[in-house]
Amino acid sequence: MPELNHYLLLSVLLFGLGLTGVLVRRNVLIVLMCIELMLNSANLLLVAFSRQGGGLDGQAFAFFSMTVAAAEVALGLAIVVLLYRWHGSTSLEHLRLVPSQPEEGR
Amino acid sequence: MHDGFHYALALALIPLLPLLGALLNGLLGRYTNVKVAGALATAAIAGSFVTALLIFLQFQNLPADARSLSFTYASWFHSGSLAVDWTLLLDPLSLLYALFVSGVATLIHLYSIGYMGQEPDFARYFAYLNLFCFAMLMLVLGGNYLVMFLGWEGVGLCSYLLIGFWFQDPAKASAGKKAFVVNRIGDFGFLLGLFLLFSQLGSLDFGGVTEGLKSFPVGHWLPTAAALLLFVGATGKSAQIPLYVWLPDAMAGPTPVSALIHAATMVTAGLYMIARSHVLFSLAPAALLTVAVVGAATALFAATIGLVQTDIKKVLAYSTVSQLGYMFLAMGVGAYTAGLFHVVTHAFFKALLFLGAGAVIHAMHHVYHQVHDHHRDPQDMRNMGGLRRHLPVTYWTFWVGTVAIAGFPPFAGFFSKDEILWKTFAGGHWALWATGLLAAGLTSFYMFRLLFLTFHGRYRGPEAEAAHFHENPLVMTLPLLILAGLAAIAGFWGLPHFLDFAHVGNRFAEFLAPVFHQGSDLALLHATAEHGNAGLEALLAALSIGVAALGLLEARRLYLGQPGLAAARAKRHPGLHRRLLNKWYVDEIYEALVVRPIAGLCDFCYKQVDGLVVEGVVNGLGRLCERAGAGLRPLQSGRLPQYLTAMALGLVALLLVVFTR
Amino acid sequence: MRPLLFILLSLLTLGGGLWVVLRRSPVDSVLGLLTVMVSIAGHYMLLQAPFLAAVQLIVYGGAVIVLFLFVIMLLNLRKDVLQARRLPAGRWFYALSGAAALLALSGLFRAGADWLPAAGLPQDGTVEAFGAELFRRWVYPFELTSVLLLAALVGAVALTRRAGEPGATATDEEA
Repeated sequence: MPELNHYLLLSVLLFGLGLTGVLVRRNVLIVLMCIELMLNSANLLLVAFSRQGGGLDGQAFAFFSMTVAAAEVALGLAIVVLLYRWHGSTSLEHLRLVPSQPEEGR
Repeated sequence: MHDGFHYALALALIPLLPLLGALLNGLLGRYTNVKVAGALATAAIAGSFVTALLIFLQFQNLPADARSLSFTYASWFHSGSLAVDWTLLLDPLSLLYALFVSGVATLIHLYSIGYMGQEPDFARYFAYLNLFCFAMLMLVLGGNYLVMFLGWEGVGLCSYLLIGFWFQDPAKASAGKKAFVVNRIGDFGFLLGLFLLFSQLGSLDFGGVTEGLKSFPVGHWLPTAAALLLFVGATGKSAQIPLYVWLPDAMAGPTPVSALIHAATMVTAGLYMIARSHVLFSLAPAALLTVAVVGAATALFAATIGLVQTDIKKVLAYSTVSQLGYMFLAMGVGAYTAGLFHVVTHAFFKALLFLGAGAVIHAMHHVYHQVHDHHRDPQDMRNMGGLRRHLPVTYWTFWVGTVAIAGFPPFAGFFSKDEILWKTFAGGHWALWATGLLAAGLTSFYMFRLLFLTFHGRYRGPEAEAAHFHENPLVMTLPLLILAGLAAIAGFWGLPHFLDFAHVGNRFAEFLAPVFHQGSDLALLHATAEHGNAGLEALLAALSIGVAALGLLEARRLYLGQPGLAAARAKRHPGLHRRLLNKWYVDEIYEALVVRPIAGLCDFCYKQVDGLVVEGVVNGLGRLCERAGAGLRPLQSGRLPQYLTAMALGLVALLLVVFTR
Repeated sequence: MRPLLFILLSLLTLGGGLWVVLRRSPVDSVLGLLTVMVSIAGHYMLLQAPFLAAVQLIVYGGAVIVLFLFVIMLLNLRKDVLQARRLPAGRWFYALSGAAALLALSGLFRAGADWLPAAGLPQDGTVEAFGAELFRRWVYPFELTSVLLLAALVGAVALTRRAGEPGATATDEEA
C-alpha cells in the first residue's frame, strides 16, 4: 500500500528535479518545462493529502492549479516568442530584468 | 521698601532702560533717522542716570552702615551645588560707578548724534552703544561674580562690535577681533579665578565670598592665586601689561566709542572688580604688590610710547593705558579710594579729551571733504595746527582736559593723581613712587605736545583750506563744556588733608568708606596718611606740580619755539626714537612668540586633524557606503538565472526554518 | 498490485523528469514532460481522483505539451530537429514504447476503478462528486478562472502582436 510518505518522497524528488532544471538550464523553454514539473509535483502532493482525509479540497486546489498553470504557460510561451524575436535565441541570458548595467546611480 | 522708595525697581531700571533702548534701536531704528534713534538712545541712558541720581538722593537718608542693599530678582540657574540668582547690589561703590558711567555715557550719546550725523548705519551704532551701557551697568550693579561676569563679557562683546563698527574695512574689523581675543585671554584668567573661589569657598556671592575668606590667614595661597587670576582678567579688560595691546588698535572705532568705552567705562571695569574684591586682595599681599608693580610699569611704559605718536587718538590711547596704570598702582598699595577717585576724574577729562579730539577730527574731515581730498589722514597731528582760532570752544575745553590730566591744580587730575602718589610714598614704595612721578612728567609733556601741535602755531595745510573750518554744533560742544566743568571742579570732592583749610574732609573717601572698612591694610594706610606729615604731603604735591611744569616747558620749547627742534632731538637718538614710535615692537614680539605658534597649531589641526582624521572618518564612511553599495549591486543584475538561484536558496532556507521549529 | 503500479508509475515520473532536465534538445525534453504528465495522471487514478486524471491528460497532455511543441517547432527549427535525426531507428523505439505505455496505462485505469476507497474516505473523486463540489463550494473561483483564462488569452495575443518593439521585454510578469 503506497502510503503518504511515499507520495511525499515522490513529490519532493520531482520538485527537486524541477528546481534543479530551473537553476541549471539556460534554455527558456526547458526552464518553463521544469516549472511545470514543479507544479505537477505540488499537485500530486495535494491530491495525496486529499486522499489522506481532506475531502475534495486538495483535488479542487489541484484543479485550479492546473487551470492557472495553463494560463501561465500560454503567456510564458508568448514571452518566449517575443524573446526569440528580439534576440534570435532562447537563451536565458538575454532575459534581462534590469535595463542596462552597470552605470552609476541608475 | 525703605521709606516707600522702591529701591529694587529703581535699581533694576538702571540697566534695563538702555537694554530696552538697544532692542528698540536694533529692531526698529533703521526705519527712523539719526536724530530719532540718537534721541531714543540718549533718553534711555539719561533715564538710567536720573534713576541713579534719585537713588543717590534717597541713599543719603540711610545711615552709613546700612548702605549695602542687595536685591534678588529671580533665579538664574541651578546646577548641583551652585545656585546663581539675578542679584543686584546697591552700595556706595556700585552707586558711584552707576552714576558716572550713566552720566558720562549720556553726554557721549548726545555727542554721537552730532558726530555720527552722516552715518547710514546709525541705528546699529546706537543699539550697540545702549547695549554696552546695559552690560557695563550689569557689571557694576551685579550682586555676585557671575552677574558681574555677564557684564564683563558683555562689555567685551560690545567693545568688539563697536571697534569693528566699520567692519567693511578689514583693518578695522581686525582691530575689533584683536580686542576681543586679547580680552578673552584675560577673561580666561578671570574664569579660572572664579572657579578657584567657588571650589574652595562654595559661593560666588560677594557676601558669601567675604564670609568664606574670613577664615583664611593673610598670605595664604588661595586668596593669592585667586587674586592673581582675577588680576589677569583685569589686565585684559583694563589694558595693562601684558594685555594692553588691543587698546591702541581700538582707536579704529568711532571716536565717541573710544571716549566711552576705552576711556571712561569699560577699561575701569578691572578696577571696579579689584575694589569689589578688596577683601580677597587684602589677604594676598603678593598679589597686591604685583598689581602695584604692573600698574606703575604700565604707567611709565605707555607714557614713553605716547611721546612720539603722530595720530591724535593714539596719543590719547596710550595716555589712557598709562593713567590706568596709576589706578592699578593705587589699588596695589591699598589706596582703593584714591584709585577710584582717579577713575572718576579720569573718566571726566579723558572722555573730554577724546570727544575733543573727535571734534577736531570731525572738523578736519569736513574740511577735507570740502576740498575733495580723501587721502590725507584727518587724525594726523602733522596736518593740524592753529586750530584754536577756528575751533575755540573745542580748544578751551580741550585745554581744561590737558591741564587736568597733566596734574595742575585746581583741576581734578591734580587731586586724584597726587593722592595716589602720596599714598604710594607713604606706604614706603619709593621706587614705585619715583616711577609714577617720572610718568607724570612724561604725561604732561606729551599732552601739551598734543595741544600745541593740534591747536597752536599755524595750520600746516594749504592756506585756503583754513577758511572751511567751523566750530561743531551744540550737540557736540555741549558735552564738551559739561565735561570740562566736571574736570575742573571734581577735584574738590576729594580734598587731601593738607589742603583741607575748611575742614570739609575728603567727601569722596567718606562716601566710599562703608565699602572698605573691612580692609585691614587700608585702615593702616589711612592711619599713616591722616596722622602723617601734612608737610611731607605738601612737599610731594609741590614735586608733582614741578615735574608737570617741567613737562609743559619742554613741550613748549620743542613745539612752540623754533621749528625743527623736535626733529633734531629725534635724529640724535634714532634707535630710541624708532623703538618708541614702534611701540617697543611689542605687537611684533607677540606676533612671533604667540600668534605664529598658535597659528601653526591651528594649521596643523586644520590640515592634519581635520583634514585627515575627521574628514577621513566622514569620507571614509561615505566611501564605505559606496563600496558596500557597489559590492551589493551585482545582486540586482537583472539576470534571470541568478534570480532563480536566489529564489531557490531562499526557499530552501525558508523550509529549513519551518521544519526545524 | 497497487504497490507495483505505484512503483512503476513513480519510475516513469522520475525518469521523465530526469529526461526533461538532462536532455539537450527541447524536443526530447518535451517528450519527457509528456511522460511525466501521463504518469501523474496514472497516479491520480491510483489516488481515486479519476476526474482530475482526466483533466490532467486533457489540459497538460493535450494542451500544454502541444503548445510547447508548437513553440519549439516555430522557434528552434535549426539544430534541434537535426539532432533528433541522430538515431533514425530511435523513432520506432519511441513509438513502440509509447504504445506499450499506453496499453499499460489503460489497463491501469480499469484496475484502478476496482479499488474502492479505503474505509473512512468521505467522498470519491468521480465526476459527479467533483462537479457538485466545483459548482457549489468553488463556484466563485471557478468563474474567476474563466476571467483568468480570458486575460491570458488576450495577453498572449497582445504580446505577440507587438512585434519587435524594443523595451517591451518580460518585465510585465512573473509566470
